[in-house]
Amino acid sequence: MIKYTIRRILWTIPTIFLAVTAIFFVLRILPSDPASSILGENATPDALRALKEEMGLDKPVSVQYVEFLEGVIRLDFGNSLSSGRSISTEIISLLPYTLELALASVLIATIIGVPIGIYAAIKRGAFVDSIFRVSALIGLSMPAFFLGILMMLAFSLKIPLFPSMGAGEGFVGNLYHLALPALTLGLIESGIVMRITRSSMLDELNKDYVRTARAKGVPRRTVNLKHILRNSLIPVVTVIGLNITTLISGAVLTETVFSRPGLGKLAVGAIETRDYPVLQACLVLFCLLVIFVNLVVDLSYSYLNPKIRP
Amino acid sequence: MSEPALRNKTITNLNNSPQPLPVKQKLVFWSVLKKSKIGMAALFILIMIILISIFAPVVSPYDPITQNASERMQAPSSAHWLGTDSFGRDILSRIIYGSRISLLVGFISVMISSIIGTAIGMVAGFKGGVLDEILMRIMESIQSIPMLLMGLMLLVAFGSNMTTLIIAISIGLIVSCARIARGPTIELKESEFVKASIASGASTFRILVVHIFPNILGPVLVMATLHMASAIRVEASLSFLGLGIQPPNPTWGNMIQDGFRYITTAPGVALYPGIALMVVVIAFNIFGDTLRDAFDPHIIRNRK
Repeated sequence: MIKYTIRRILWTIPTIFLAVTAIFFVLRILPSDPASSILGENATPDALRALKEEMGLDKPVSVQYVEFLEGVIRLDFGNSLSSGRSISTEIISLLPYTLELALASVLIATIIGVPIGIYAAIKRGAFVDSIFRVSALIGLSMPAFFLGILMMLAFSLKIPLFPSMGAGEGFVGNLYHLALPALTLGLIESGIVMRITRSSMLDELNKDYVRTARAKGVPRRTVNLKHILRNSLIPVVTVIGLNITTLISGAVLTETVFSRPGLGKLAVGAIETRDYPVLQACLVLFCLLVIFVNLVVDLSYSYLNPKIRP
Repeated sequence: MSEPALRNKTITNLNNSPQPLPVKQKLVFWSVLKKSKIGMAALFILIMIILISIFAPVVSPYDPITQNASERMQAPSSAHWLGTDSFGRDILSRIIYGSRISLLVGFISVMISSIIGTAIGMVAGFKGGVLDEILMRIMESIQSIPMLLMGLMLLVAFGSNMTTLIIAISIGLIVSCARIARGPTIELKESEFVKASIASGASTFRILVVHIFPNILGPVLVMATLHMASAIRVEASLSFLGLGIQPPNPTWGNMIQDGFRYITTAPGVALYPGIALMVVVIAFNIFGDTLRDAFDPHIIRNRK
């Protein structure tokens, strides 16, 4: 187990390296020179040179690349072009907003998805099962930004229950503003969680231990909820973790729709203001996040399920 | 079991992916598909939408780009079934033309990613060893950048045009194609008929194309259908963020972005293209899901 863990952790290094390198070089071949596109066409050559120097664009690409890699290791991404502040500070100040959105939506997805998934598996083949199946498909098909707009329209504009934009002050205000974005993301996620709960329950249903438990007279309800559920939750935990990419894309879109501060909004804003260092930092950060979560999921999966441990 | 194989197992579990298709099942496949009412409904909707997009110039009542200042922001009427937008353009016509971009971008990127991804997966699975490790490591790196952000990054770097959009979406989709193809290839490699073929000196290319590919065609087709849904959704999301195909060319995403500004006064401008988008994505997902059941021998037995 320790050997596997070390191996798995070491393997993330080339993955991170490849992904981060790709981000660097793609953003380095921008057709328009970032410095001149920031200053506009009428920039004096001196101003252009000064900005290039500030951005480090005057150095050879290889030097820039090494500096960038060093920055990634130290999690120091330089300064934002539009605000002049350190990007790391900016990210740290926005991170809680995105994290609370992510956690709240995962929570909502679990609360909705797991019980419905269990129920659908128990009632497999019945009419309710197909209703839930289709609802789950509709949920996971929903484009996050459009569901966000629908939510806003329904629960903010038609029935003014929740605020439509921004983030609130204090604990209650915060939750109040979090409600619609979290529900939007949570509903989409819940479709995925429901499907995986259902199929993983079904996988367990025909196992020997279930037959044994039933044969010795354990009530059906106990078998379903205790024996099967416990075993079928492992893939559910995995899928919640692996959906980090859905969650990140979803956060980018919902934060944009609800004008909510956060990392997604930061990245989209950076495109509009042509603040390439910020965009680069956001992309690297999201990528590190995905790799890290995948690592944790893989390790916990192999810890929970000895069968797949090499 | 090596680490990438473990990863693949996880993914296979998640996707509830079908096993390679036994020859007999091919005959059963259509009859199972036919029995699923909801699957057939989805297929019908998809065929209708594809026909509408092909015959867009014939069916759309107005030109989607010509602006008409005197008819701005009209409510739905008999002249404009879904009303007009802020430039006085007929929303229905723009939705009809918008379907062309969605379907085209989706179709081309799914074709590209399925072909390249399946090839990578088959080669990785068949060759194994170092090549497999390297290829799967590259796949994992690609996967660590969410598809939306991949699109965002490439469109910012190379400019918003259709080629970049298609390339970005294709790259994002390649990974799951490779994984879907790799798993069964590893299993098939150990089967008698492939071993016999190797022993008789057939080239790797021939074995992959003649023996392995037909056996993984089912899962690949299912994947491709489901990928259409993802591709269309990502294309619309990028357009919504102001990247992707630029106005005045209509795409559902940029129509929603434009309509979102008038959400308080005229929600329909954003709502109608959004509904079109929703219906198409749901239809592809439902059809893909039905297709998966039809290809999956276990489900055929369980569901009558």
